[in-house]
Amino acid sequence: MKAKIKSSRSFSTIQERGFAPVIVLAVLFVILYAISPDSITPKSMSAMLDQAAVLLLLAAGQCLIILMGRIDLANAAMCSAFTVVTAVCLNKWGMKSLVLTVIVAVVVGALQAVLHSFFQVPSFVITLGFFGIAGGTALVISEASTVLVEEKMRFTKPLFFATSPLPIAFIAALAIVGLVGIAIVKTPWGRALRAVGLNQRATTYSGINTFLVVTSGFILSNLFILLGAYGNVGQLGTASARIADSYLLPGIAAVVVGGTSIAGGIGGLGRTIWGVMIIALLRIGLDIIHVPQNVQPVVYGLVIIVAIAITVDRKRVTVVA
Amino acid sequence: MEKMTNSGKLGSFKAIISRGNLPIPALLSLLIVSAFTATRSPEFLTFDNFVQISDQASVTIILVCGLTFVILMGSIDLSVQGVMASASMATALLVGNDRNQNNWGYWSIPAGMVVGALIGLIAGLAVTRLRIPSFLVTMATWNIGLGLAYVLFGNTSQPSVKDKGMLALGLETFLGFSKATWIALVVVLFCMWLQTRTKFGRYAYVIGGSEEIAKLSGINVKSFRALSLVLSGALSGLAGSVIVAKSGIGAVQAGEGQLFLGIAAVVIGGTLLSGGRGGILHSVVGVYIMITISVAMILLDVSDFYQQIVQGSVVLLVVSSTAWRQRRPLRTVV
Amino acid sequence: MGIRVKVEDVSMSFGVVHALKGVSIEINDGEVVGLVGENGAGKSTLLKVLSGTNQPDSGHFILNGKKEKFASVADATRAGISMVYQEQSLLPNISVAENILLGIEGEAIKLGTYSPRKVRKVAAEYLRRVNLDVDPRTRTEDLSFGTRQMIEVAKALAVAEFSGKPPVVLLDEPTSVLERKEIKVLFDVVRSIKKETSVVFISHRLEEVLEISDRVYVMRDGEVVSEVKPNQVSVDELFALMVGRDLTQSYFREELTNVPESSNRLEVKNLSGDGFKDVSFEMKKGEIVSFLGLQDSGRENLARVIFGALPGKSGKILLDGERYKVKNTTHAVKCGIGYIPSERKTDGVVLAMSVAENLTMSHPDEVTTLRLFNKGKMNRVVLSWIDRLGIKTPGGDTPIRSLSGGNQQKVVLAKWLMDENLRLLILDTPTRGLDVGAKTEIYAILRDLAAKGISILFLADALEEGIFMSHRVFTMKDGKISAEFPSAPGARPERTDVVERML
Repeated sequence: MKAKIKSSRSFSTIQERGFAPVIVLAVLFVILYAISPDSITPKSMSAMLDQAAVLLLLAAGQCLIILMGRIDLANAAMCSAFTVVTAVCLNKWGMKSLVLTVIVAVVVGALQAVLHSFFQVPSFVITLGFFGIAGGTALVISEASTVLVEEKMRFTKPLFFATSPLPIAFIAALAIVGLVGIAIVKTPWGRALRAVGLNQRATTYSGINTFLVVTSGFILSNLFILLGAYGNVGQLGTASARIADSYLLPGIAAVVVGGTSIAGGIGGLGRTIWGVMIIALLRIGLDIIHVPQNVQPVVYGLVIIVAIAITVDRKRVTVVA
Repeated sequence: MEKMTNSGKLGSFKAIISRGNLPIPALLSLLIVSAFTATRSPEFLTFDNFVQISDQASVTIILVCGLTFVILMGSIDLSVQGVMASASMATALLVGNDRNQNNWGYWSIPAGMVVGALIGLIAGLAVTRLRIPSFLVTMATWNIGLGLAYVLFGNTSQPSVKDKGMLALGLETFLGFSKATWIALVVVLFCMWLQTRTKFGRYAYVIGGSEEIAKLSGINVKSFRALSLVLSGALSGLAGSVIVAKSGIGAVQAGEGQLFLGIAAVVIGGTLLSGGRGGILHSVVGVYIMITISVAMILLDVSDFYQQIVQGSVVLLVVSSTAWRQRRPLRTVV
Repeated sequence: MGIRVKVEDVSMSFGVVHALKGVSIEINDGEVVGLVGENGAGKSTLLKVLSGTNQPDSGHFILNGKKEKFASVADATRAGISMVYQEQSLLPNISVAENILLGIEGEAIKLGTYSPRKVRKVAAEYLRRVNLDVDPRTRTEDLSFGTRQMIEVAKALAVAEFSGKPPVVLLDEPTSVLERKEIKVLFDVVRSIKKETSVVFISHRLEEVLEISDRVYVMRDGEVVSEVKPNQVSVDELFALMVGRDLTQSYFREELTNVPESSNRLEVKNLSGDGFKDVSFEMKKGEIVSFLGLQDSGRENLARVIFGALPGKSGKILLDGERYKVKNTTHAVKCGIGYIPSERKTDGVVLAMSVAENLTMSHPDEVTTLRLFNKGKMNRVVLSWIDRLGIKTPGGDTPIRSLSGGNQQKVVLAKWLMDENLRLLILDTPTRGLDVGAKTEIYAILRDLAAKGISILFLADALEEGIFMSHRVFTMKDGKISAEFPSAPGARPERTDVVERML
């Protein structure tokens, strides 16, 4: 009995300190190298990371929401909508129209937060509604066809197609995510964000304006999603209504596998970065063992379920519906 | 001895209205929307048109019945499109088709329901045993359903239904209404019976009203919740099978668009997403409302692409306006 | 007349608080037993233990000659004991009939199939017995508060009788939400059912208890101090038994009492909010003012409104002579107001965060450099407060959930004391659940703050605390201030006088 308690305590310490994803990543790496050493080269790893740049930005956006104890079901669909909007804006009005896209992202985030906080409607409902609206908007603006972005307007392309052996796009995304991640750990605002996810009432009773904190979280999250859209423009050069929809499950999986608690408050962007790398490596692994593209989402779904089941903190979960 | 009275004429009138749990506000909405549509197109209020609309609504009505019980208990089921995909593929591959030698005939329909029920069971167990929120679990099972459908699809061609009986089911009518409509009617009647005459149905309201009180009263909340997800899976499966009959093929896109349509219908019908209020009739009326809205949109020359925007907006508007009354200071909602 | 339920030597502690100390009572057949006592005397806890809601640490019950223990509410109801709780336990969205028979449908459910007719019939029978002329099909939320309370009684009756055992119904403050004529109906019902169903009745209105009970137990500080017959005792005598003797004064650090300054710190004029109306009072700089009142007195929300946690409906507040608008907690904190909530674990601290994070939650700028947390500053500030307030913790990074209640509360105090511009500190029952040592330390800290000119608005947990800690005592009842008593060492208001204005 004693040995059991001891090992579970050390397990939760590993989990709490955030070492688990690093270990998982290492193990995954070793397994894949063993199965197919040819697939694991510096070149392929660099390409893999570049491919994961957009995922990193979307997962970062989702992480912010989950840290606050909420969820954003519209995350990926909104990226599709933003990609379409960005593409159309760039084609029509050029680079200065990016300001418009920023305004759109800020307004969307603020609207979600206000509806959620003011009407006291759960975030999964609000973002479910926005999921539909985003999908429809993308369809309307793109007129259900693929929008080609003019070559000279693909401003993030150099990041993805750099001649350097380093994954420049991923590093760029990493820099931004890392900066915000530091802010979350080292600033009062960041701590308020986590406090809201742990105990919003006590945080309000401490004099913190939790309404503003929640709103800022949603706005920042949507700005991350917008950056992801910018990435799509550079990486793919096209925009269509469903272009980023498939990122929803891998994004949530990355956040959860990285060690951010679905109940809120625990975790952070640093952990999400590890989570993204795990998901990216997993994607490679699934390709190696020839799992068809269409079936891969099943794996992400299972990953989410298993990761949460293992790490659920029973002290905090009361009623689950 | 003094008595406290709430009876007399007013009392029993009140009792009937509240006992019947009739979706009055939803019916009024339907009336308004229908009236508006009729001004644009007088043919809308004809019997023929009603038959057409009912046929169009039949698939959604079937799945919405299952969805309603899940939502009554305070959970949600986002997996309907995935389940429909799997069930339609399974049905198409089991009934006489052009891809293999199977010839299950009508039995392919219950098979589709079993596929749906199994996916629902996975969801039910994950929510109740693993304590994972239903919106996450059913997002995962949505993708599991789609993945399974893709696997069944393989990389050959789309299976076409050859069984004459099945095709007839999709195309023929009975007493004026399409057979699909009759299937939907049977499902509705069955679910109404569940709602009013079984422990499952009555306790759905209790669990949705207050899980705490339900537990204190000795109700096995976990089992009922899991059961509701199994039922929702089974009915989504049935919806997928009916689509096979109507379209004559098995397709992964069988359930396309049904999620938002279904949830919007449930919400506008008057069932609260927080649980405990509404019911089957509410959701059925809700489906008619949403379909009438889409007809109106067509008549107003609004592009089909706006459908999802309308559905998403309906959800936001209705939920926000009903939540308004239940607002409380210092209440934290996540 | 036999003994229906015997409670033997039941004790229960919540942490360091002894809620019940070796309590023994008897409930006989055919009688109504009354329970009186102040807040925290243990009356509710005793009922909760009898109803199976909580499990006592020691002691047992004797029913039908057999020793029993209730591990759950289900156990108690199987033994025939049911309770009408203070909080409504009816589901608003289903019919009256379904509420009454929830969980005890018995014959009405066969093979999972439900017979609405049968349920209605049985429910109608119980409605008749509590004299309610209500159609059992009515949706519960359509009925008035008073009617719903009576339906709860009907439900408790049904649950108790369903067991087949001699029924006992426990009523925890059933009259606090009823109007005069509704109370009369309730009493008629109690009288008509008591022949078969024994009743235990709690109320803070002593006249009511004397009117309806056959015997009354008086509780104080978790013990039964007296058992009386209503015809042998007056309301005043009952009061005296409830409040008992005085406690030692040094416990409240009276020697540290300061003299408040002459200028007003807080002026509240005709303030109204949720649960209180037209409240007006003043506080001087450096004055400790305590508010005493029962659950529905309105004092909690009064405190919350002043802190901006709840909106005010009307009225005016002046802080140091300047207009103070109730906006939100952020604004209140900026104006130098601090607030310590009564529910420490859910509202006062963020349990999953560290001592340091909790301590610096309200005024993080004290430990930042260029808007970023400065580890060095953080350590210095946190350690200095740990030292000043004597907080027992291994360090600043310790998770606050591993500290004792008293030490957690000190962290909450430090959170507000960090602000040099703190003007007004509002505390809602700050010493609840703390051990004696921790309490007296907190009293000393509060006295020290008052001496420094900080005004203290103190919602006291117990009568003595309110009387001995303050310069003035306000009592609140039904949302209004009912009395004001000056209080000084050696010249404290009489406990019975204060209690009288509270009840």
